[in-house]
Amino acid sequence: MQLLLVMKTDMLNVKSSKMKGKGKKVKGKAIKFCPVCGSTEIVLDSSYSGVFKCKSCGYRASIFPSKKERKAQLKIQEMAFVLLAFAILASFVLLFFARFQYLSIIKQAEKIREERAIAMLHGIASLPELSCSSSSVCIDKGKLEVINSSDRIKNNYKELWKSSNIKSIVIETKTKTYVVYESSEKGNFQTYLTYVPVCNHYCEFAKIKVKLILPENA
Amino acid sequence: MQRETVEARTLDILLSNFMPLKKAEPLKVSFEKVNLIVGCNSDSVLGFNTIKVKTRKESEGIERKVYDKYIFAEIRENEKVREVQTFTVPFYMPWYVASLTFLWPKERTYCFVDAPTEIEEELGNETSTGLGLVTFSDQINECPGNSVVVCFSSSNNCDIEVRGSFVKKNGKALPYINKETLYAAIFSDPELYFCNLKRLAKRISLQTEIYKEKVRTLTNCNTVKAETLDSLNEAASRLASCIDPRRFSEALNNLKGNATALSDENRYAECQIF
Repeated sequence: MQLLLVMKTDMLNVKSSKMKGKGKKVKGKAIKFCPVCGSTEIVLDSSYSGVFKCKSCGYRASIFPSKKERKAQLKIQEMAFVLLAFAILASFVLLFFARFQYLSIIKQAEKIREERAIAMLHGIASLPELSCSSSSVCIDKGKLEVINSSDRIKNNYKELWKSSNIKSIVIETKTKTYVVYESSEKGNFQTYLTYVPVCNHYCEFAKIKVKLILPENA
Repeated sequence: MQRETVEARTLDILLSNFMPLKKAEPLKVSFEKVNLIVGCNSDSVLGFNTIKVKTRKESEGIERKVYDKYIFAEIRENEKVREVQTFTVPFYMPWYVASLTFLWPKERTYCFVDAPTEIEEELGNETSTGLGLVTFSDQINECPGNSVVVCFSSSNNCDIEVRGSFVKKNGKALPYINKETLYAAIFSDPELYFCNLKRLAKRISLQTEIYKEKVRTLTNCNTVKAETLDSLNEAASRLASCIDPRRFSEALNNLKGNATALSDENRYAECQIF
């Protein structure tokens, strides 16, 4: 049975070598090997015609089994390595892209936070508790004095400031600093400021500074 | 959960403290039709409004709280919205207290029958300053189909009726004291209306404290009496703590009376406080 199989493979080899002549693709060259010791050093025995001899162990036979060179396997292996290398490269590109996207999202978030903070500053300045009664945008110095000096009034608005992630609101004129709100909250902060007129009998420009609590990953 | 929360962010302008809303603007809620749940809580010092977006039966986004806005809306439990119409008006009692925001689904139309000219000029599209948010008509049958019919004179087949100093809707009578509270009563769910009015009363009470301290510093000139401010504060506190809806109208009118008295006193004062 084994001999028959060997013969079949041999015949296939002959076929494949014939096909070579016709310009067909040959997948691999057949190499004879010794069934006793496995050596591939098989030579024609000069003493007998049509008999082959193993150089290594001296085994003689007219038919030696043969095996194909693993070219296709090598090609598959090569392809696998190329694919692996490509996958690694692609993952590096993807990683770089993700990092780039992450940075741009952080930048965008920062920009949005900044825009919101500026809108918030104007919103705080036009809050009825601080603003002048006239339609013009200004802070009433009288109301500011009251809020600055009364902790009880400051505390009334605590939930509003807290829910807006505000750490402190300070209004600085040339002569005085007014604290509208100050919390003992710890963490990362970012200060935003703008200028607003503070009016009583006359108006003066003042800095309104808002310290915002930043999110943990900012 | 995450998706619903992201969708709620499209309402960000409405849900963020200090973010000003335009006089009238449509706001995108979501790409798909969702159910918007507007709530109110008047238990804390300032009280707050809440908004939640619900896309599917069991899926609700995070509830967002807003402390400095007073949102009056009526969105039914199963009503799906993609866009909402908002408009804001300043509320004076007697000084500028806050802005009131009215909100309804963009698909919904309101038809005011026999409305006063003042309201028609503000919400209609006849004048250049009109917001064009509401249809005005002299007869109910001229109102567009499916619109919410608001009658200012006695008629049949009205969804909402304005009678005397009350707005009658859903079998409930909502008292109003001025144009702003009339709008609030028309566009709001009764529960939200009472809750937000209580919040406003609390805000007036807090602002009265600031004005009282301000009056104390004005020693050199004739200004409003501290007692008048005390009366307003008391009226506001009474409204804020009113539990019985039948006494709500009385408390609301009392607040208005005190605010008018203070406004008159301030008008003739040497040093005006507002």
